[in-house]
Amino acid sequence: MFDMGKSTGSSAQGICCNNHDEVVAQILSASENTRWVSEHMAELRQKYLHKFIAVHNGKIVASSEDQASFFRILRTKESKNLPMIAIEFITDENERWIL
Amino acid sequence: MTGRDNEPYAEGFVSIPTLGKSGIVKFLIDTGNSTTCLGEPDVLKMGIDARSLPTPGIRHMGIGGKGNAREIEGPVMVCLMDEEHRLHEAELENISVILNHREEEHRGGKIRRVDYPYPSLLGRNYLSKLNCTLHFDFKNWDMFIEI
Repeated sequence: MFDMGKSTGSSAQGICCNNHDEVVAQILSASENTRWVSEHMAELRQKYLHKFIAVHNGKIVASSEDQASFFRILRTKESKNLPMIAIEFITDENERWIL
Repeated sequence: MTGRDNEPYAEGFVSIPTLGKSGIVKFLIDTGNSTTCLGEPDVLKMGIDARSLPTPGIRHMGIGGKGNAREIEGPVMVCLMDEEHRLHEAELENISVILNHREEEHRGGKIRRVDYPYPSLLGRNYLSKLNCTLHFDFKNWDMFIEI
């Protein structure tokens, strides 16, 4: 993960800030879910290689090889939690991003 | 940097008022990328059909060649949160969507389509709009942004 240091300037006062508390709560929850994915990547690779997974509160709430099916499942089962859910495509340890 | 494979990730919030859509996005901080982009899964998560979006007028080139991109006309608001839970918002004129890389795999006489999604990338246009300073500590795998 990555830290944003203390701001030396003023916070923005735009659309995001109109829903400040809700956005902050969602970001914090999403960060926890992302952290859980990072900490469990070795196990996830064994079970979900080349699948999309959705994680919320330390649980896999959906998984599928097919992106369209995956999002159908998520919208049906987890529409309320969708903003906070961490979505990850599980790649092989030997696959690297070169962007 | 303590994210997966020591990659510097940060959750942000993206709002697209013209489409009435918004959502939390996990960004890979990518100083090599001039513009902030969304990956296809993050766009689908917001309820936007990425493949029905218009093709941008400019080419998106990467290490692997030309990227398969779409474009969302702005304004698009992108926010990151600091350690004191303040939100830092930049308004972008538009935002590109990088579609998944698709491959066909042949296994056991069957053909299977595999999607390899790209991550959403926080590029230099966000960082420069907010006059950010990046601090890297590769010895301790630590990184932070100062605004």
